Amino acid sequence: MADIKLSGIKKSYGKAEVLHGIDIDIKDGEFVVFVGPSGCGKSTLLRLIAGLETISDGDLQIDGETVNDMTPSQRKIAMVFQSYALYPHMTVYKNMAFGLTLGKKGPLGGLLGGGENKKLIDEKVQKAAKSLKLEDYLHRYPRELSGGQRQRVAIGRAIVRDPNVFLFDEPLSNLDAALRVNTRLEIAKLHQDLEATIIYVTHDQVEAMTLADKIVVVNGGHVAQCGSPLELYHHPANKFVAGFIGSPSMNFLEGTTTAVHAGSLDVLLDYDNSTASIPVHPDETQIGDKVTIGIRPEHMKEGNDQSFKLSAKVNVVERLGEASYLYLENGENDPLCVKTDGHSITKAGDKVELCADFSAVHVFNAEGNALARTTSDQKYIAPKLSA
Amino acid sequence: MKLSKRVGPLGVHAVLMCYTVIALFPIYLVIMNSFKSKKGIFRDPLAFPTGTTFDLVGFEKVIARSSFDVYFTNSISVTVISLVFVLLLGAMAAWALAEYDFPGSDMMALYLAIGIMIPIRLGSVSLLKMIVGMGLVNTLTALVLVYTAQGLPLAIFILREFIAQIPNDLKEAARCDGVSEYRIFWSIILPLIRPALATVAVFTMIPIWNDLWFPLILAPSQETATVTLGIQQFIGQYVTDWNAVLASLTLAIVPILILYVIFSRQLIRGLTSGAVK
Repeated sequence: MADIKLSGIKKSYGKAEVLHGIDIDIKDGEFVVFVGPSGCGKSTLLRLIAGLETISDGDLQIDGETVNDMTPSQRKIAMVFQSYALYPHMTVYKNMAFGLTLGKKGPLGGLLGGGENKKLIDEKVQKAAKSLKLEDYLHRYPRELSGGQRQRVAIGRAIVRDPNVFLFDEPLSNLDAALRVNTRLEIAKLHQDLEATIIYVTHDQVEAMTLADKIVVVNGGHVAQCGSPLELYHHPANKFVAGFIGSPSMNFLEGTTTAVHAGSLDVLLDYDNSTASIPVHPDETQIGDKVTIGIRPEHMKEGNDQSFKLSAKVNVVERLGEASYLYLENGENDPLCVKTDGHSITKAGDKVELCADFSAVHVFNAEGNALARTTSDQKYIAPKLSA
Repeated sequence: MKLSKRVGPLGVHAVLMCYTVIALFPIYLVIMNSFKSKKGIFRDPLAFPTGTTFDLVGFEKVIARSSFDVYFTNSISVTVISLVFVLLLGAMAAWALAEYDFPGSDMMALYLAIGIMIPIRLGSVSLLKMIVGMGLVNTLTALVLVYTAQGLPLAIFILREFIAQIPNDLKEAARCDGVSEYRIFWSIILPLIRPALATVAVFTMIPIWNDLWFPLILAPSQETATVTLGIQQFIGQYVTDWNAVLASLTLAIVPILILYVIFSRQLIRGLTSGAVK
């Protein structure tokens, strides 16, 4: 049982502050994913929780107890490293048992023995090995295993310790694509079986979306947004989250506010000088303010039978079979992307008409914050999932 | 193109072969002549022992007339004990300097590295004074202390580099496992730097075994003499008993050769493969 509470966590190296006050609540048994671009501080945050780095300021509580000054083992965490970090001179069995063979009882910090008894250790290791299908490899050395097997050993080493919290630091990034999908499923299953609290760091938003109960998007040492995967997808709090979650990423178009209504905003788009009337709460947006609108590629389609219309020249077509992605001419900016039917016969160089529903459109103000949408169209809002 | 490709390795091997021959020739001479009679040695020093010149008189003299067993025991104990201290203390210091950032750690590393550049013999006078002051003259302890001091700088220098190369993740994984710092050192760091330890052991042990200087000034008594010192009794001002000198030198090679074989087996590469991707 372990709730984790981060309040105002800061970390600086010398004068450079890399985390600027992080507040996150993690409930017991929750699978939380920290996601963000490289260098955003997500790994540092994980290491702070692990106790591998000291917290500069703020309060970290595990299970209601402040653990700022505790060692990793006192915090009862287990960490799986990106590089696996298996002890190369020990067999798989010893790798898993090593953390158990020592207790704090013996002299010199357990140097001369102590720890749990052999039978108990053996039981735990065998059980973990069985659940990870490692029984046949127990007497091999890490160098004799494949990447996926090493990864499982690293996870096994964490499981046998029966920790309060599992910490995963980009565990899949060294695996090839096929193995990554398999291991992702295994980790999801592991979470269901163990019902443990898991904190998982990745830069891959697909991993985040598929695994998480709760995603924490970190950007530049701040929490950009924290919520369930579908909340982030349908209701991004700002332009960064909107662009980061979803693949291919959201299309952004610049525009100017031309009219403010109670439940909607008229925006003149720089792209083609057309006006779109978008159902959002205008908040403090004034006429003449610069805004950015965002539409996901999968919410657009070829045709002109919906309220929001565009026409553009196709630069590149990517055909994936079940769908095709059209990349459209967009001047100096990133090309716009549209997900269209896999049977579309549109070719590169074609001029196409595209449309979307106004309800699918997001609006971000000059500071990049999202304006709350007023649409009630179920397609474009996060469904309520029962816990 | 093909020719130059062939010539490259051939040339390298030719140079290395030459060097090997030059380096091994004196040893070959010592060993070969130790099995010859005095006449055989002087008549044709380069010849192989034949039926008429073969003679074990040198070995007989060494074993019968001197306390060679005492010298041997002294040499071996001084070398082995010094070696243990150098490796243990060196590895511990190297681990501390590589892993922990404490005030003055860089200065400390530099200070220890300077020891490599300054020959310890420059301090012979003060060393002798210190040893006299401690009342350790004519003891093996004096030799062990001096040799440990002599070996530590290089040991720390080499081991520190090796320890710094051990992936951080391994230590952190161990810390997450609740492994104490002592245990990380013993169970993870030491096994992983085994090849480096072997290298350091070889480099440390040979100068100690071969040293004549410190046994001569610090422990010259009959009971504490080492092999190199003991051999000197066969070298006189007017007469040198070459049979005995060569025989004892041949015997002196044996233990160090055995130690070398033991350590060189540890020089396995790629011990960390499989630790981290």
